[in-house]
Amino acid sequence: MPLFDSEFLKRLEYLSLVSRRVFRGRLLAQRRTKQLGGGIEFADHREYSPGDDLRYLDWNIYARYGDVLLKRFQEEEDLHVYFLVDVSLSMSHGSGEKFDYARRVAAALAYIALADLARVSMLAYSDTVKDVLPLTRGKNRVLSVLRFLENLEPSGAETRLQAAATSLVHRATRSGLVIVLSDLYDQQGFREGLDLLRYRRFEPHVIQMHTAAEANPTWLGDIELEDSETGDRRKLTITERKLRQYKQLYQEFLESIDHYCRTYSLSCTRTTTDLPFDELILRMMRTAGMTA
Amino acid sequence: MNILEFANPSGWWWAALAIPILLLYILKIRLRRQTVPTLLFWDRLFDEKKPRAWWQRLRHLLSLLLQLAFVALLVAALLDPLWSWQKNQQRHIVLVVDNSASMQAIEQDGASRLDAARASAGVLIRSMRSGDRMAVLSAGGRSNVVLGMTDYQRALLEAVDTLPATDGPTDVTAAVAAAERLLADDEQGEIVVLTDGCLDDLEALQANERVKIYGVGGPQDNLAITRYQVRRSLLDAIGYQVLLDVTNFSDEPRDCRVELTLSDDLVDVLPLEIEPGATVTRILDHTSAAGGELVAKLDTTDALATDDTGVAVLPKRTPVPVQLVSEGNLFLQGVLESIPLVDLQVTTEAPSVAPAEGILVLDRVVPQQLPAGRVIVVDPQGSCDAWTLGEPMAQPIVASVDEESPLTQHVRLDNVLFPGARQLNFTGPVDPLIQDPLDSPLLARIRRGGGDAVVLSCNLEKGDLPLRIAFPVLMKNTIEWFQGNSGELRPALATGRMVSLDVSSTATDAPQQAPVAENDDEPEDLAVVESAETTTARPMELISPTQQTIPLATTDDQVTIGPLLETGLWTVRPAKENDGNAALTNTSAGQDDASVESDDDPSVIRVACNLVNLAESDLRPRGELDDVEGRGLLTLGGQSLWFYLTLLAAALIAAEWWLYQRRIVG
Repeated sequence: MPLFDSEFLKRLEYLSLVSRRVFRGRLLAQRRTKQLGGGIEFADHREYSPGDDLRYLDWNIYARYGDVLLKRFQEEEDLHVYFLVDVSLSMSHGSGEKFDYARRVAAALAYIALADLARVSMLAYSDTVKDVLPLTRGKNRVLSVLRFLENLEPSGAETRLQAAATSLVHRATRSGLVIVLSDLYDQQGFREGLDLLRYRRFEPHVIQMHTAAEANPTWLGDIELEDSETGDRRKLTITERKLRQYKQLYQEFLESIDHYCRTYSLSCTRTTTDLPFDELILRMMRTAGMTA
Repeated sequence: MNILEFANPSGWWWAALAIPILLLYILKIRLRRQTVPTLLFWDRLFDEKKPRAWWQRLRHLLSLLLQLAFVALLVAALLDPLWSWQKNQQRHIVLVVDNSASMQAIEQDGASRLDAARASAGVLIRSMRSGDRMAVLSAGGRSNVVLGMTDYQRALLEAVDTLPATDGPTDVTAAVAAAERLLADDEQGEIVVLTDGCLDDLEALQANERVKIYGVGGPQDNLAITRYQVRRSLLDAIGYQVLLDVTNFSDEPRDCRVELTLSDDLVDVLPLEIEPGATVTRILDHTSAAGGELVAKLDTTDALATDDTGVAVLPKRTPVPVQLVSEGNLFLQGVLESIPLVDLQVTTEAPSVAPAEGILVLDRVVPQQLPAGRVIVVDPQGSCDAWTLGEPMAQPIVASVDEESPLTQHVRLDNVLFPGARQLNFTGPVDPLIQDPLDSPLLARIRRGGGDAVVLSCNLEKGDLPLRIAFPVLMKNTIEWFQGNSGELRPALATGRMVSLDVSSTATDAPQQAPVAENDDEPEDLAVVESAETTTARPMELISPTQQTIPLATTDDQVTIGPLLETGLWTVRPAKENDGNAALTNTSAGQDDASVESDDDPSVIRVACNLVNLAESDLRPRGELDDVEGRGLLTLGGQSLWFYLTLLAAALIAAEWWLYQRRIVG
């Protein structure tokens, strides 16, 4: 069964329409960059300094108060949306539902962004960047985005978000919105990668996904566990108590993601693969609508 | 010499259980593998407390050892190891099962106490070891050896399961005595009693060290008929008087009603209020003389149903047709009229035959041929075929009275003058009942084939005999003797009692009655002889309330029945020709046979039987008794190893489960 069939495309179109009518300008559509420049929409004043263009002096304020202030306008530019898609082996664990889920969510968000005339770029990463979709624009580029996502294969020895962020920072000509789709099972820690993006004035949006079985394993007794990424093995005896401790530890991990994002005012969405991807998009829209 | 031997060597086969355990252990040490997206969390979890490597290696081995130890204990228990001294000491046990009336009480769980005793007996029997022997005795009504000493458990179980419930009283003491006789040669033999404890001599039994008493059932409230008898009424000559006791064996006051029915017709309803432990007594007069089954029934539902019903037999008091042939004798006529149930008819012409089922009284009238049937002749003035009239007696004074005869019971006539008495020369055999000093009969019974006759030689109008109390007594005795057992009141019996019954009504010694002759020309003697022959040799049989037929041995017109272990109406009747040699039967044919008997049949005797036993109706045990469940015969021998091995195995498997739940063992 193909990943992106006609039914999937219909749902993308539906999501795009919903995003325009109901959440107009709230998620990706008609967003402006934070760059100030030669636009037409007033943004701010600043002190005049020698050499500034006198056409932008606010003569009204000068006439009323005698202050020499320069009007600043918000520069209107296309929004750059970067997708960092985790293609490590942990994403394809089991039947690969996390991997498919991430690709579907990425496709949906990319479709909405392209429909709103944003520029979209994608990076597939695990321990390094595995594949790159250069910046592209226009709704007619949707198929190339879908083809890119469809051709992705899980690979890599481990997950390293920092390597992907470093690569993105080097490649991106302009800052913009960075949507990270991953389970965040990063052996080095996911914070460094997100920190780097923040430092470089990107706006990271984290979508963490996991399966229900990962949060609530049911194995008991003697068992040999094998890491799907590194291939490491552990012979363990799992008791009821250990299971409880594991669930608590996993919950703390999820809460640490939330805490990090709240601390730095980052958008964060956590989901399990049980939730249909379109419902996830709608939920994200609702959240954005409430907070925007 | 082996110190330890095994009673059940086939238990070694169970050691094969160790093979699958070993196989499972080998399979178990190959851990199942599970792929996870990341080991980050598991590493963090187990890095905090790393399991000790040597323990990890040993924990599976420890689990295996625990399981093998469990199998070893199990096999050892199944082998039933015996110490050598135990092997030589085979146990002999006599199991006494109380199957008395109180054991029919229904417990809270819906089962009777006897059912519980059967189950307990099954526990005891199944716990017998190889070589043990057991006998089963019952203790209801009378002690009875149900099954002699045997080691065959199946026969013992069958004997216990088929042990019948009885309505008889408990006789555990006699059963224990019988058990001690059975174990006379075995000083180590033990006696186990299964009872509900409703026996008054419980403490004495408990004091016997050789006897172990196990209890079944718990205390139950009960309302019971504890006395129920009927007697002739002192006020009404032909009526009956009923004595009824109802006792409340509970700690709460109880209200109830007693319904009295006579042959299924409601006679009376008595409302009763009875205090705890109290007995209410009621005496009912003027009970109908119609006869039938007088049943008293408590309208209550309690644990024991047997004592809620009492039954008594009231014989039917049918009038006796008496024909007096006299020219006028006020003394004689007055006496006959005063006797209850006498239907007197006075005529002057003597008939040729006595009235059917009746008595002919000839006053001074003597036909040539003494009429057939039951005849009383007073002051005969002529000769007939039975005697020749002689001279008047010189000294007609009473010298001797046969006190053995029923005709002269309570008759005191010493030195009384019988004026007008005359010598009678009898032509056949006679029994002189009253004689003068010369041994001439003044009152005599004439034995004859056509019906007995009684002759009184005395002119009633001349002497003072009619003025004496002896005269109506004598006439009443004579009338009742002619009637035979008809109308005789038999008291109701308590269960477990024996009784001897007079069955002479079916024998030759009974007063003979001639058949009603349809043709006077027919030789009557021949008919009478045939009748006598047919009634002489017939054996008797006993029909129980549940229509079981029991053959009876008859000796000298007496038959002894009992002990009766079933409440209700018992019937004694002549046995049918085809089942004279039959053993105990309980067939539909027997039921039909019993049902065709009528109350009027003089050859049928009905005996009522009731529980009326205070000890049986009180369903509260007289002392503390141990429960047999779970004990088996262990407490008898005491040192059987298999029990402790089983306990140890159970403890071991519980410990293994506990350790496994905590992953201390694998």
